[in-house]
Amino acid sequence: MKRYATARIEHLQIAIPAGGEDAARAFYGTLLALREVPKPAELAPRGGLWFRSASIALHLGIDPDFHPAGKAHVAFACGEYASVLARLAAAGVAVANDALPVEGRAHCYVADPFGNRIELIDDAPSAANDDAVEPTIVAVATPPGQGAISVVRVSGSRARSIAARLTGAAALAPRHATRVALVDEAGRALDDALALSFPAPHSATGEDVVEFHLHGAPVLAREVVRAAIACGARQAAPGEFTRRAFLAGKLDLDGVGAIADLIAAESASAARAALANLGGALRARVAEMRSRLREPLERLAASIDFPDEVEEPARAPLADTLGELDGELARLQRDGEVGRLLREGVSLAIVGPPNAGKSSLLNTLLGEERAIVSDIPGTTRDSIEERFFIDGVAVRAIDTAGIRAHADKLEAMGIERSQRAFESARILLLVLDASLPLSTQGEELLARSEGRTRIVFFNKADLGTSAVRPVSGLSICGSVRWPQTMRELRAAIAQAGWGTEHPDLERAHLAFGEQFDAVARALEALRSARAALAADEALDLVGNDLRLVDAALAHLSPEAASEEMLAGIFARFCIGK
Amino acid sequence: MESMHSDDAGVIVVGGGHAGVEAAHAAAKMGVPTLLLTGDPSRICTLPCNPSIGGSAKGQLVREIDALGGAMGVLADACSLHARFLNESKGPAVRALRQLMDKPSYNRMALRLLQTLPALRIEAAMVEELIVSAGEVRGVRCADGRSFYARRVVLATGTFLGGKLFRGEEVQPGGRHAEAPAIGLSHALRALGFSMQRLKTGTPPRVDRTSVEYGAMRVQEPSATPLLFSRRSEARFAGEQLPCYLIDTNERTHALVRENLHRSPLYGLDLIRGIGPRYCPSIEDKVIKFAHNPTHQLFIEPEGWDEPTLYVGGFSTSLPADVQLAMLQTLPGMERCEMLRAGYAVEYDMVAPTELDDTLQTRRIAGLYHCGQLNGTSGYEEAAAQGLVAGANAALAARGCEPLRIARSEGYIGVLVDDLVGKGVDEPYRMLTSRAEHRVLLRHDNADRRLTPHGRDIGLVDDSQWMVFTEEIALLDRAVSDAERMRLPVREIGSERFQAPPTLAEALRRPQVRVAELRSWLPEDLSADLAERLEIEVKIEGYVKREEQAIVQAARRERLVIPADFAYEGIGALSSEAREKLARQRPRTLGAAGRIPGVAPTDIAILSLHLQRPEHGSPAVTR
Ligand SMILES: Cc1cc2nc3c(=O)[nH]c(=O)nc-3n(C[C@H](O)[C@H](O)[C@H](O)COP(=O)(O)OP(=O)(O)OC[C@H]3O[C@@H](n4cnc5c(N)ncnc54)[C@H](O)[C@@H]3O)c2cc1C
Ligand SMILES: Nc1nc2c(ncn2[C@@H]2O[C@H](COP(=O)(O)OP(=O)(O)OP(=O)(O)O)[C@@H](O)[C@H]2O)c(=O)[nH]1
Ligand SMILES: [Mg+2]
Repeated sequence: MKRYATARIEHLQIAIPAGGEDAARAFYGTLLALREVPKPAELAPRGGLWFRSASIALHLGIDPDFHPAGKAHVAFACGEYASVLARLAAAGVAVANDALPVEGRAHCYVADPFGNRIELIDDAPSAANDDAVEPTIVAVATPPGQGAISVVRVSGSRARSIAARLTGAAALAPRHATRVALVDEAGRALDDALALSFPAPHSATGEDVVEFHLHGAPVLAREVVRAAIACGARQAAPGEFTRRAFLAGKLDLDGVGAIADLIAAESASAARAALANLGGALRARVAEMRSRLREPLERLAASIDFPDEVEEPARAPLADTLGELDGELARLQRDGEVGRLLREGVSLAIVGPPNAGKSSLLNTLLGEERAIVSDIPGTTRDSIEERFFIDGVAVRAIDTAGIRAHADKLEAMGIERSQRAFESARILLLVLDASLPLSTQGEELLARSEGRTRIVFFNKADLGTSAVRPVSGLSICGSVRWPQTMRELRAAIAQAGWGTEHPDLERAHLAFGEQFDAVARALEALRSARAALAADEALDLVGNDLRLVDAALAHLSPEAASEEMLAGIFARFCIGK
Repeated sequence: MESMHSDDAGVIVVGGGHAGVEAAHAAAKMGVPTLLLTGDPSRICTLPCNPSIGGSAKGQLVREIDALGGAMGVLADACSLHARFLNESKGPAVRALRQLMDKPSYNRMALRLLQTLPALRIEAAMVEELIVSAGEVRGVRCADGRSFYARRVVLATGTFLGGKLFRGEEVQPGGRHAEAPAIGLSHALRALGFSMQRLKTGTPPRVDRTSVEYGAMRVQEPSATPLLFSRRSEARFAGEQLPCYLIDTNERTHALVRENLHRSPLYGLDLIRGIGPRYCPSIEDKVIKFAHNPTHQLFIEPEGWDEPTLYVGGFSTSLPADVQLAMLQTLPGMERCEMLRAGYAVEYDMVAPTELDDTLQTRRIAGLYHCGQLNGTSGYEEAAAQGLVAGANAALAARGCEPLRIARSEGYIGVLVDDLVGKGVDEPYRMLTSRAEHRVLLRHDNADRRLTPHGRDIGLVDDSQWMVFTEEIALLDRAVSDAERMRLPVREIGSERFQAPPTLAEALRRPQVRVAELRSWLPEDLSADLAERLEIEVKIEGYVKREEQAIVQAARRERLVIPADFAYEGIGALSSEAREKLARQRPRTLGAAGRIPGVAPTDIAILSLHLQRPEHGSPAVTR
């Protein structure tokens, strides 16, 4: 803490016209929720108002010769930005939004009742500062694939601001189920849902918690999780809600033994999961990468601590090594994707015009009569999600309502969902009727899916092939009634999902989000090091990035990093006076 | 009853080396009546080994001591006969100042500085025993039969505890060259139950400066302008600036080492049990362990303006004197040299620093503080830094104030203390930049920003230092913010080209652009020194921001305090190694617990759960 002659701002003064107290009170007191304090007796006769909170001291002074301040202004950081805006809007105050966020925070301008310019800034702390302590986490709280309702739970300091983004509602009444129309981070409609807000500390985790109760497909719950992540939450690690609940003293556990069991159980399952996925191979890869970093790092450290004795590492070979490591890490990240694929499966949306044979296809893939099949176009009215396996990899297939223009209300809702599945699935399986001329919906779907990972399946070839034409990407012509076609389709799904090479279940994969993060951090720091090296920055600064790379990698295979390095230095260089 | 005696001082400091002097200086400057007891007051602050102060990481320590209001920086500046910046090209965070001392002046200046402190009294005495009652220290008993009483005692006895000197077949008790060891105190500490360990270090021979040929050596010139540790020192040379020299050993030197290994107390004679420092190997070690190196570099440094001796850096040895001379005479320019003093090794007792809490007070005996080489470190700067911490904390405790704690992210001093008390040592500990994970922040240029406010808080920074600091920082802050706004009237600076005229800051962010090229656009009242700080602050702002963010993220753990009486025994889920170490070392925070070797991340997770259990209420969090 520094001390200066002039230390801090004691208060701010805004001028208001004579007699403006009531209007000011309504604006600053009610809408901006500042707390009014009585003026000291000796100053009271002059009129005006004082507001004070923990960090704001605002004085409104009467100026007989009042002119509104149009440029000079006071900016308030609002902890509940969304609800302040909602209140202002409800009171008919014009809000001039500024599209450009300031340092990542939304802000806007309003005028007080007298025309003084006021700036409001969203203080919902950005990822950089508030989550420093405990990031806000989100996860589907109900077991996967079961029950009619899925619950998505968000916990942490940003839960309420995320809820505001996803529901568009300024504030949710605490502990009340509120009907909301959920939207994603870009404002696209997701679903109707019930939202419940549990403000800290009266919640399961002791933090701000918001729950969304959704009906319908699990894919939707995942969409909501994804949207929450896009708004700044992070995917919860296994057991993280429980841990937070415990930390907040919300779990009634019987003594130390139970806690130990809990932790043992959590870490054991985590460890099992890690082991299953790592199989030692990741460790070896990481160790290899670290050993390649170590030589230049040790040399750099030695050259700094013993400058007269050890030369600093040469730049060109270092740049080469870093280039190679970049490739390695990028590969590790890709393999991580394979690992994720193995755990979570591949999403496949079966889309197409009505009556093309989508439901028949799903049933055949599943080997059971799951979806209703009929010759009436529009049979499937809501999405059906089912899992099946190809070569041991889970494929989550979603049969959707046929997409067409004229549909009744119910069907329209189904089509809406089809569109969403169309957008979010990893692979599109576009089913077209080969025997009939291509419908306009068919044309449109072909055009819209261009550039996506897709398989175009011309079905009903047993009835005719007039619609068949060359299309980009994978395309298959045949019939769901022909086993050969089904074999080709399975192969095409595998091809689109994980490439020609069969995912090697024994290979090194990243087990957890944390490991993904670590690899991403390592890669980011490595790229920063490469940029610094290329810009001819001082080597210590390059080294600073490299140590971050090493630390991130150490996270994947923890060892006592710095001691290890010291030992390396003294073994490698003969130094010391 | 001991308690019937009235106290002789608020703080007693035992030992007048760098640690003891800094401790006594701090306590007395803070106004607490202080008594410094040392074997021979005329040898206060002796530099028993090399003549240099500062260097990589150590230079930062000196700056930090100075920023806190300590003595070492001012003393060194007043005695410097050679100064140089190291690592200039390697990056702003690792630049470091190194000076060579006129050794006799250093002794003299140190004594003179201490004599200006009215609260300090100095007595010649060797302490033999601690007076302890009910787990608290009450005073010390000396070899001459006198006793002195105080409730805070700082031990800073260096290499003297159970000290033994080795040179070839000769073994003799000694703290260092021509000084007797402290045997009684070593026994006394052991009897009190302290865990102790044997370490060793060594020093090279000294040669007559008139007997060497400098023509055969490579010259290392000192800086042409005065380079200073302290902002309180006047910007001028302390005296004539002298060069240093570099030479290399050769096959004949190495052959002599190998032929005489049977006479080495380290190898053939196998007399030395203590563990020596890896970063300061003897020439015997170098020749044996790095046999593939055909030569080893040596540093020839003067030890004073009027001193007859040259220090032969890199040539530390405990071979017999006749072998040392023969070896010296194989070196270029030294063929006819005269050896004035032979090198030797010293073996001594240290007390495990894991006995200490993070204020350097022992947990075993309240009011007793340990600092310096006694804690297993080596080096003047390391000793002085700990001395300051121990002395200041003893004084603060005497006054009933909160202790001084420096975080790892605030200073090398913080790293030093945390490493010592958390990890302990198994070889002499030297400060290295690679030990400091936050070293972009721990720069030589910003030590005052980091620590002078702490020094002011505890009363160690006086008014004049504080005024200089606040004025300089105000100037610097203004210059930094102006740099972001001020647009230069050019698009080319040196070889750098810009699309549009850059701001001063934009220009400085290019690695190649130095502030010296922009002087004409800087405010006139900005000194060269501040201009350079401006350059550094602007240039590495991005790195600093990132580091600060990482610190905020780690802060929760760093600040989570573990109750002093926390029952680790009851936690079955901890590994038994972690349980035992935690119970023994009692780290103050969860962060410190995590750095104890053998305490795994899972142990920390478990501990964190227990610490925050509901019945503990909400956990204590420190500043
Ligand atoms: C031979 C030798 C070689 C060294 N080599 C290196 C090296 O290569 N690199 C390096 O970094 N450092 C080296 N040093 C270490 C450096 O000198 C010390 O780290 C530093 O001086 C330690 O400071 P200190 O204050 O802890 O102890 P010291 O400087 O040892 O001072 C101890 C003081 O305590 C006094 N004292 C001791 N016992 C008592 C007692 N019982 N009662 C009263 N007074 C007492 C002594 O008289 C002395 O004044 C070497 C030291 C020696 C002696
Ligand atoms: N001959 C023949 N008939 C097929 C084939 N595939 C599907 N059919 C028939 O086509 C009709 C429509 O099939 P569905 O699977 O219900 O079609 P859908 O695409 O799901 O239709 P909607 O749900 O209405 O969008 C049914 O009568 C199927 O039996 C095929 O390959 N050959
Ligand atoms: Mg259907």
